[in-house]
Amino acid sequence: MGAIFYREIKAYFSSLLAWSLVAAFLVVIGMFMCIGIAYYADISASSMQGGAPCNINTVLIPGVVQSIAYIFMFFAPLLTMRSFSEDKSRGTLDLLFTYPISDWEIVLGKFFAVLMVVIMMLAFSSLGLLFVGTYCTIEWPVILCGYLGIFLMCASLTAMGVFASSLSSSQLISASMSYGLTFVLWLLTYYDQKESHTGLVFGKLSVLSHMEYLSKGVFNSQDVCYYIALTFFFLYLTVRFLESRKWKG
Amino acid sequence: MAESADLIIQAKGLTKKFGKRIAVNDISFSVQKGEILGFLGPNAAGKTTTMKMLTCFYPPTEGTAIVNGYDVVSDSYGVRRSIGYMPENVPLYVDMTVEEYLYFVAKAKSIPPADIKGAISKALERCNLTNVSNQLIATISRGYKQRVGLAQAIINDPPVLILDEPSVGLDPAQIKDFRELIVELGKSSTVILSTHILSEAQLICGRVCILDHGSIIAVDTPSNLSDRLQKSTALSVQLLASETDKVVEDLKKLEGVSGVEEVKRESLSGCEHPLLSFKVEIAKTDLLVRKAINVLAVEKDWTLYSMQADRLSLEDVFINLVKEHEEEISEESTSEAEIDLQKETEGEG
Repeated sequence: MGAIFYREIKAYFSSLLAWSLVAAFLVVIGMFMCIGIAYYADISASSMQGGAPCNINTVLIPGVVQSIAYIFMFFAPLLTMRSFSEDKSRGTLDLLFTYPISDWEIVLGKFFAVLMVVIMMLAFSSLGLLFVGTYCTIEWPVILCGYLGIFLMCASLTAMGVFASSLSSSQLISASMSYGLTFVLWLLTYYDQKESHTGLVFGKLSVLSHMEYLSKGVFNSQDVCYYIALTFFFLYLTVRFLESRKWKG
Repeated sequence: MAESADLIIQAKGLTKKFGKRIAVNDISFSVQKGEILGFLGPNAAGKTTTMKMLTCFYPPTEGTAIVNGYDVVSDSYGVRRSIGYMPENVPLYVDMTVEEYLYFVAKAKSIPPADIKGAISKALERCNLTNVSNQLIATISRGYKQRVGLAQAIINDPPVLILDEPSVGLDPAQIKDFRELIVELGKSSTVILSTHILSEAQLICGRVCILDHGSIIAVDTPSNLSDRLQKSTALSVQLLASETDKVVEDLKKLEGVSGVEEVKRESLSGCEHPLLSFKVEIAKTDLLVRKAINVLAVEKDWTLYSMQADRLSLEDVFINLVKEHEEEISEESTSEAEIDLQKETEGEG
């Protein structure tokens, strides 16, 4: 697994892909954070003039955390599209299968390499909040819980993107499939608001609805388990799909 | 027959089906330690599929193969540790330098960290890559890329090397260099290679395995295959003599000669007599006839210029065998169709 991880990290950072995606992600996050701070400044001003009381930990932090989650949904397919598609189009995947490494090691090596880039993105994105923290009192456990939620959600979307990339040798098709799957998981959020049995089941499958509590600093083991299960599910599907070479030819 | 202890690859009844299509059909063969075996065959004959089964890329549908004592089905890790594989068109990570790429392969092949540096240097040296080791793979020539492909295959010193069309796309000088490199590697490893260049197989392979439509149609040394298919034995004789008719008559009288045909007549500068070329058909072993021709030439005062046995080239052997096999297949399918038609007619009756 270490060899695949080494190769993938090298590929990400020796090309413009990772750097440009990290930069674009941070620019967008920065914009959202500025908007969030401006909004918080407005409502805190009205609060001082006798309006409803407001707290940075309940207004700004959850908003920022949720916007990071939304933004990452657009970045995940771009980040993961090359994982297997590039190897498939070059033919290097065929060679990897003849090395003494298992399919799981190949999949995990690629997954953790993307996750490394994700961690880098999230680490940089947290600088804005650290900066805010120097001017006001922030409850760090709320931020940590929110970031744990984002990390787990990003891991699920990364696993889904890696799976989509294993389906095609074209990076464009892989990214399109990944966007399709993300869109489906996003649509499920709307079921969560309906009080029906299908709504209950499908709503629980939405990636965003499980962010709700975590973004507010409420640690819910159900949400954590959901993200871990979703990640494992897509990684498992990827391995099964790679194994199909044994009978498909 | 070789002792089974000397056999490094033993394939028994290997079959690979993709749905209804049979890519490889019940093939069995063995390879001795230190041997260079060539896989020959037209396109879609099953060469690459057989190689991919030996490298554990996919398992056989039926049958099995033992590579260096490991079963390709039940112990694919053992097999993958024992082989070095170079696929057709050599897929490489072109965004890495040669050294970085080999470092990645060394890690992937589980070479102990302490030995990686030494293994890379050795592979670079053996494949003459030292001068391009720090260059990006994307910027090196096709010949060097082919060498990088070979270097990744040999980096773990595997006892078995499997090379799929290793010299495809190279220019003649690069082919010659690459061929010499394979022969050199063949001294320390067992090599299986597939090729379309028959002269290459004849030059470097101890034995060749000819495949067609997923079946093995012949396995032997190139010279044995040539002998086996030689329908008639003939000698090409060139001599300097004055009268053609007289020479033909005299040669025909020799014991063991069944026919003589004049092939060519040319004049050599500075020679009184013309150079005559004959094809001498012989009925038995050519040694006695060769001796008799020598004696006759001395007696008749001819100058014997050259004398050699006419042998089928590997190209002729290959074309003949594939043609015969294809005729057999078409005959079989015709007779099967006739039987089906007969059954249908009987059923209707």
